[in-house]
Amino acid sequence: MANNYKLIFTGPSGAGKSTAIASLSDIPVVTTEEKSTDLIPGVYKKTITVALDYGMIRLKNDDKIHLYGTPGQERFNFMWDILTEGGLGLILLVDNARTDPIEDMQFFLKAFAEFIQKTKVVIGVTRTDMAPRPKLKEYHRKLKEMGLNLPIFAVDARSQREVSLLLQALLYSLDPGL
Amino acid sequence: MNQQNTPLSHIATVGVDKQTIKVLELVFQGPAKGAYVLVATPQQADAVIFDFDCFNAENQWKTYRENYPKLPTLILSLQIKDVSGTVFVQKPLQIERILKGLAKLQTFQEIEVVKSAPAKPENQQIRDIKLAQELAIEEKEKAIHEYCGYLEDIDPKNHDQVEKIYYEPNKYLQGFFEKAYQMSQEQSSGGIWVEGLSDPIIFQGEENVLECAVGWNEQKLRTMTLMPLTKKLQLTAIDAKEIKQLESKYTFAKLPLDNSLWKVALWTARGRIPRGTNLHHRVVLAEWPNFTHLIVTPHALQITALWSARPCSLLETAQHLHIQQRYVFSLFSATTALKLTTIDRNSHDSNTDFSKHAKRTLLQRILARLHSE
Repeated sequence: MANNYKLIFTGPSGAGKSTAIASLSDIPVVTTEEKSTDLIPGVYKKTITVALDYGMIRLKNDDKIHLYGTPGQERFNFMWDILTEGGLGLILLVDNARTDPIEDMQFFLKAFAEFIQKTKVVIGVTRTDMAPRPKLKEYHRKLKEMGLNLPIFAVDARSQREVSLLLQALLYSLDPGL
Repeated sequence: MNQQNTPLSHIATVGVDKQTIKVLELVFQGPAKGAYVLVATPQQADAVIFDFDCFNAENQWKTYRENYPKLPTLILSLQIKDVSGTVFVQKPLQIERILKGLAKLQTFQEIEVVKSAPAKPENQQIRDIKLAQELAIEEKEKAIHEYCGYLEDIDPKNHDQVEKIYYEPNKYLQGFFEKAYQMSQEQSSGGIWVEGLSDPIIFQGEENVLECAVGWNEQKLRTMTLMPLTKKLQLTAIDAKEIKQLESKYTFAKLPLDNSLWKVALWTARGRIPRGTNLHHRVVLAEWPNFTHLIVTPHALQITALWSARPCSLLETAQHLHIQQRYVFSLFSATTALKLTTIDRNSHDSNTDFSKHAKRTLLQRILARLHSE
């Protein structure tokens, strides 16, 4: 019998969660996007994800890896605990073009601290082509202050290779002996 | 545009991300010596570069082909794409490959003028695909050897074998590049000018840019890394104004600095480690390399994850992961060049067992799926 597992993508609105899921998914991604009514500083998307994104990876033995993208808006925080339950790990995407992306990273690492403690997290910094600063060095500096040394890559969420590398880093972080 | 048998000089892109477009611009201005220019739409173009890894690629391709059925097209992708009437260039992108691909498009166009190519029989097409796949695998293996060498695993008790794994970065271009990189990291503006080479090179740490005069190309850089340097190079700190002056005198191509030093270290080390590195002391990972922008050598993510989870020695790393030592040594040389790893001189092999994830088989299946893409 096929088993079901899940991976969680999180991050602020516009960080590329929906696109990253689409880069990996075997099925067309179910994205519940609506016209943006909330004013979110630094976010210029015309649509935002108000519920969640869903994609899926089918493995050869028919096991399914469900890919869930959490809603970016904070008023949907209540869903995060439900979504992460039983998840294999967390992929955090941070939009470098937002006002304070390092603060965003810190916020999400704290919000998912319990889940991360049980599993692992990797961080993808998106839109570094549009906003080259802050640099990855600055993210590493903040992580060190938090006592963390995590995989953090500059990522183009449209690139299957780059999102795949991020996921591979997550899998090896879970078990380097794979 | 689109007139046949004229030089293909106006190039449009479809599905190509902004970063790659920037790289193409630099390649066209630099190594291609202005032979190509980027234009905004396929309508204005003599040829198109199409990224098959873009979002919704199949549909984008269909729409593009419907609108421009005969436009010479160069396809970029991580996976081999055998699309009739196109030229394929496999990622990761290399300047030489792109230029070769564009030159090949030109030949395609000339053949087209003489006669329309007859459709190939199906088994011929299959043979072509197989050949293309074999060539791609050969190409990949060649690249791995260029970066990781051929060294067999050594017995740490055998002095002669141990000697073979060491090299002295300071005797090679790598040593100067490392120094220049380090100096450029400490600057808030300006750069480090490397004098004494046939063409000038400028390190700009703040911008993460390596400016190479057009006389440089990847092949030349690699060749330079293989031979010990016979003369000392001069490293001079210069300000923004002096960079401008050099830029007006020479034509520069801009390369990502961290990736360039990473490659130089891999090419020089070829599976070896800097002399003085103790094989039994633990490796400490300061931070993860930005793997999406670097050459990912075999097992690089796995090794880094292990060092991140718990410092362990180079020998212990290879032993625990059941991988060849040269892959561990290669990664260590590259990360050390970028100051991402150090050796803890007060530590020793621990021989501790590493815990196994409860869902290891599942994680292995996901990995296999990702590698098959």
